[in-house]
Amino acid sequence: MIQVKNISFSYPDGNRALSNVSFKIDEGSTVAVVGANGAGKSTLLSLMVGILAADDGIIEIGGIPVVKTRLEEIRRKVGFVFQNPDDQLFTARVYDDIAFGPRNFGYSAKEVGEMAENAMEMMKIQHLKDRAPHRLSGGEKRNVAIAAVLAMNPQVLLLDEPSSFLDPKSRRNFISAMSELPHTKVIATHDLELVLDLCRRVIILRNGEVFADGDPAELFRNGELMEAAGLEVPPSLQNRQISRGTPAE
Amino acid sequence: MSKLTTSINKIRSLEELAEGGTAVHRLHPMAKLITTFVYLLAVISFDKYNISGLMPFFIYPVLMMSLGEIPYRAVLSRLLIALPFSFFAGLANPFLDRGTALYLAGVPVSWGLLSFFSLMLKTVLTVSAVLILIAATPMDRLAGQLTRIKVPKIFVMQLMLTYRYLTLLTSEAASMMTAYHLRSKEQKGIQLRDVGTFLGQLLLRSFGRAERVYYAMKCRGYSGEYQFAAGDKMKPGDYIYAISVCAVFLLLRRYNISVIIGSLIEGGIL
Repeated sequence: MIQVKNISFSYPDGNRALSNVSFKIDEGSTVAVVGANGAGKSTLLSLMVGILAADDGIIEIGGIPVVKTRLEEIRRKVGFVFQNPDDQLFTARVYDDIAFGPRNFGYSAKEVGEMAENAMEMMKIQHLKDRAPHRLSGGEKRNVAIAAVLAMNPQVLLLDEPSSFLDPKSRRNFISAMSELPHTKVIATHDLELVLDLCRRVIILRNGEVFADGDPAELFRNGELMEAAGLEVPPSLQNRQISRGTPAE
Repeated sequence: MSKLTTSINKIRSLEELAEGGTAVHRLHPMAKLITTFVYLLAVISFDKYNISGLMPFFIYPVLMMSLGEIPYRAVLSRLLIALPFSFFAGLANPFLDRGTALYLAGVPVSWGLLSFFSLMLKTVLTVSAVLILIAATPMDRLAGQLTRIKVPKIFVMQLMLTYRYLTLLTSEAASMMTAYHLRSKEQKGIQLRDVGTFLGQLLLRSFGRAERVYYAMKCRGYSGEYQFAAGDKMKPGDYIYAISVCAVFLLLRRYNISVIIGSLIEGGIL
């Protein structure tokens, strides 16, 4: 479904963000991309949807190469959920934002309505339809932003730091909503607990290279590997009680 | 900081009013847009010395505010922002145009003073009409109607985006202010030598934001042309409202009701 072959990318200021990254992702799977700050997660996602163009290498999504001439097809297939929902929700009414994508792709008013309704149902946000996006809570904004992307019926969802701006309960709701979606998903995140809940596979980036690739429960337990990647073993996998003042044993 | 927060809240409170459910709110946005436009034209087109003719036009804002349950305070406080502009624009009139126009209880009133007052009246009337339109119509529906009357999409788009991101920009500025104040001795304003950096920083942040918003739009198939929703059709009631209210405005513009009523009373007394 997604094929990334020998991708390299440098920013105009000479900062090398990715070098020789390759991996394949099967249809319907949920894969996390983790790594320390600056490891290249966001850059990777931007490359996959053609916001940035790779210096070297090829990315193919559903057999279509991500190149300038085929961006329209790519953007029909791939939904990109931005880290900050405020960057994504720009209209004065939730419904208009959700209908924005389908309208751009030239669907009729009736089809647009159906697609928007479907997307709102998937994220359970029908009650927010007529609200103003900037007056929603962080969790509501996140759900609207995802629905706005789902409305275009993408096959692949790319999510950049989806659990930021969320309180614990909204985060929980987000995780359960995600687990119900059948789409192929790539999630770039620092939230390792979320990875454990949602993903069977994780790609760990370090300094722009694939450092490890495998089962999150296995990789995250490996303290040495996590340390080397600039991460730490998530609390739920640490073999100790969380200490509060007095160390346990 | 507190000032910024208050102004954000002011913008939001006007917006909340637009979600009301009164008869005024339920009118089709197009009907309100047209009547407001005709109202503005009628008011502006009055002769610069004509005050009595303007007086009956106060009926419109007063009626709309009471029917739309729009608090006077909300409109008046925003009106104060616009008044100084025309106050200073018209301030020279009484000094330049000194011929005596009439005697009011024995005191001579100059033509300049008359034109100054009519300018102020026009400001009050037009600004409050527009404020009422905004307070009774959600912005997205207004924007859709603007494209229908062939306002270029690019302007409507600018209006919508400004409206949407104004709150984010002010809250960004507010948090920068707070961060600044927490690390500065003075608790008031920004020191002159820091103003450049502060504004520059805000500008760079806006650029960054604009870029991300644009990419987010591109990712959802945006190709330079925003597709506005078709919007509801106007109902017979909306047509009747628009036509009759516009007709009243034009009648008031053509015939000076104040003078007619005045002469009727004089005629009755004499």
